[in-house]
Formats: sequence, C-alpha cells, structure tokens
Amino acid sequence: MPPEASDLEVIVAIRGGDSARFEELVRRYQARLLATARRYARREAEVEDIVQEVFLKAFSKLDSWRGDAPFEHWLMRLAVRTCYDFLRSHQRNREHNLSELTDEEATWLEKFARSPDTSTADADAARTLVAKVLEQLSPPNRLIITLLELEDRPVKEIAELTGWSVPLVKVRAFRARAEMKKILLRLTPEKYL
Amino acid sequence: MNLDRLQRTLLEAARQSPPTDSVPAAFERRVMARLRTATADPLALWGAWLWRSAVSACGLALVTGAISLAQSDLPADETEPTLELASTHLEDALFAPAASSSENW
Repeated sequence: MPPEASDLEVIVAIRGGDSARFEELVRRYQARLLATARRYARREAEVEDIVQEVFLKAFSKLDSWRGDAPFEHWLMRLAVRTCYDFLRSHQRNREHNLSELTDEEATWLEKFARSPDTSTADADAARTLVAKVLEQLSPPNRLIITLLELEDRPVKEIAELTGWSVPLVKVRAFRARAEMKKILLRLTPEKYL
Repeated sequence: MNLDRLQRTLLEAARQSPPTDSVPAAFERRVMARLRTATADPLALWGAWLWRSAVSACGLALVTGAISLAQSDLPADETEPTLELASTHLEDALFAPAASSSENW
C-alpha cells in the first residue's frame, strides 16, 4: 500500500487540475468536521449540510491557503465560521420554551438544589438540560461557550478561529457566561432557590 | 441555588458527552457530487443542454416528417379531408381563447 500523500501534495495536485483528489481531503477530515458541526446543529441533515458547505468553501478558496499554517487549522477556521453563520441564520429557532422541563430534568434540578455536592454531571438529565440552555444562547455567546468551555480552547486560538480580536473574545466570554446565568435563573423557579 | 455551581456542573455535563464523529455512509461521495454540480462550468452546462434539446428537436422533426410522409402516400381524395379536419382542429384550438373573449358580454 503506497504511503498516504500529505495535505500539501494533495493540494498541489488539485491546484494542478486533478480536482478528484479533493476526495482524499474530504475522507481525511470529514469525521472531525461532522463532530464540530454536531455541537451547533441538532438535526443530522443540518449537520451534513454544514459540513458539505465547509468542503465547498474549502475547494473554492483552496488557492488562498498559503501553506504557512497546517491545512487542518485553515479548514477548522472555515468550519467554525460556517457553524457561526448557521447559528445566526437559525437565530429565530431558539424559541425553545425552557419552562418545559422533562420530569427527569426537573428531578435532577430539585436534587441539585437540595444537595449540589452529590449531584453528578454524568446524568442524562444534566446533559439534556445543558443542551437546552446552550440553545437559548445568542450565536456569539453559544460559539464562545462551546469553544472556550466545552472544547477547552485557549483565548488566542479562539481569536484565530473566529477572526475576533483577543480582547473581543474575552469580552464575549464574560457576556456569554452572564447570559448563561440569566438563562439558568429563568430555568430555576423559586422552589429550587 | 448556587448558580455558579449549577453552571459549572452543567458545563461539565456537556464536556463529558462530546458529539460523535461518526460519518454517514458514502458521505465523501455526496460531497464530491455536490462539488461537481457547484463548480460545473456554465458554458459546458449550456452546451450539454443545447445538445439535449437538439436531439429532442431532431426526434420531433423525424416523427412529424414521417407522419406527413405517411399522409402524402394516401390518394388525394382521402388525405385532403383528413388534413383539412386536422388543420381546422388546430386552428380552433389556437384561436379558442380569442374566440371566447369576443363572446364576453
């Protein structure tokens, strides 16, 4: 079996007119991009649309990749910006009613209010609850919470991925946490307080 | 309730369940197919469309030619009423909207 060609070799071939070789790049990065898109879109059809769009953009802008940074970083920047565009275009779909907690979520919250030390984060109810909370956040706040808190990326890297300045990332992170707290406050009726 | 703590616990819950990186079947082929459609040369598309229309136009010309040839093979007294009838029907069909509009009152 011949050794796998590097990203640079594949890209040179594509630039030379062999566009069919783009499939190698798709196969190489599709899993990672799908996982990234699943953080922002719930429906699988939306996830696939986002990733297809990322690859289309990558193909059409391939000439702008200068090779001074790994291709993967360049592709992730495109992915993050496409996911952000997706969040902005679906902003109106955020009208999820938070008062509609499932029985499991309400029970988990009640337990947490009684004894936060024994409440675990690995419960299914906690996971569905946080998904609902994240869906309520505005697009920039959701993006920053995802990159900073869930993916644990440094501020500088977030600035590179989003194209925002480092101070702006910090300001937005502060606002995002504040917005999340506001949502949690709405979520926790007086009986839990 | 301690909101800071709730926030931390919920974020921890989200961190503990990262999204799956599973790939749908033949996803790369779908991407490549979409890429081919999206990057298709408009001139090539127009050319392909032109060839397709040319083929169907030739087919139509052959069929109508064959019909008219078949009718011309018949004796004159048999073809004329048929042709006349056909042309009358065609004329009626073409001028039907105009005829009905003139009857509006």
